[in-house]
Amino acid sequence: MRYIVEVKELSAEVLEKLKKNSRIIHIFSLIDNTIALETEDIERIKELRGVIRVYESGKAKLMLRDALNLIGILDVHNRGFYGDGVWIGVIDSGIDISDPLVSGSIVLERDFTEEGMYDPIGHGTIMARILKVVAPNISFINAKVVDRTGEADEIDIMRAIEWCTNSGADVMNLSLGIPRKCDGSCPLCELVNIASERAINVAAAGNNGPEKDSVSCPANSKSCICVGSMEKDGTVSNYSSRGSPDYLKPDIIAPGCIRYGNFKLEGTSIATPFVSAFAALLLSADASDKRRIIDAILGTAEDKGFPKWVQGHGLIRASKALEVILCD
Amino acid sequence: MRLIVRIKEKSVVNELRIFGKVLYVSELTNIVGIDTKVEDAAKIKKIEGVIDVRESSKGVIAI
Repeated sequence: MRYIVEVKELSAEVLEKLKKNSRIIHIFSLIDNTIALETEDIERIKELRGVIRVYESGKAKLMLRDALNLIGILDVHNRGFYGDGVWIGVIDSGIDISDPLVSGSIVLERDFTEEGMYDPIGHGTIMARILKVVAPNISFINAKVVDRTGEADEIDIMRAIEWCTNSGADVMNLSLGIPRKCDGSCPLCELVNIASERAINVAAAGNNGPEKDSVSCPANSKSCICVGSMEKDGTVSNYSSRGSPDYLKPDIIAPGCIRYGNFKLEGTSIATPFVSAFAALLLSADASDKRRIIDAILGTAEDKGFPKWVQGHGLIRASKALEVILCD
Repeated sequence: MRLIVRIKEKSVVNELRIFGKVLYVSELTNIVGIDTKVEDAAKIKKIEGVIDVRESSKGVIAI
């Protein structure tokens, strides 16, 4: 088991004693005299002279229940729809295959960064976890485009979109973007428009709000669902990118702030997988017409009272959209 | 440098290969990604059948 151990003074002697009874994982540099270690005999560690406190290493959990309730996802689960048979392309920093929640669901993977098929920053894995909590029975096409610096080359993003499309993705989740002014006619947006004939593309609006015309590409693509972020109080997040009165993006908003263990995560990155997974749930109810799914998502959104270039159609409402899909 | 080149038709790709390594030829649209030298960017723009050329940008995660 893993523990965090605080000692009175981290001397060579103390370290040597700890090494005899454990495997040292990490010596923290930002907090004094604190070590992470792995041992099966923590009692012996506790008895060592100089050891002050011992904490068991906890597991960070995604806390999404509030967000799921807010947008009605649990109602959709209760009606028996979990995303069965739907493939979501996760175009991101990769997915950690040691994560038991998501690793068993990866059907295809490819690295476009040339640095290897691992997740160096954890972002793609968190997106996959959110997708999996919202739509538990989906499968992943794992396309790694974001490298260890947190950036993705535009050509690699395009290659990944095309590869996911040709590999049979039903939905593509792009919790990334290129911040620039674009009317949806750049090559990346053009490609997403064409890819949208086969898959539902969902992209983060970007975190460059509240300035007007701050939506990133490929969320600027006309056929892409551009997702903005909503705060817990029902307002649009200040950072969430906006369109303008002449340019009606984003298309929709979703919860953009969650807790992951003791950490608060926020951004349009977080809001995007809620919409992608929501689309997957609807596709598992009826996969016959993807355009109808998009219309149901946008047409049943709850108007939060902000201009369309700030909130789009409003907050996603899963149970309402499901009713539309099942009733038609 | 990496360039995104919009072309009229796929036959232009062979000419682009003279100026660098072609990284990507879209199957869905007439777009090519190429790794080339800075001084060759201007030459690529002048190739007949090239509609426009832009430098490949960097995308960032939205968190």
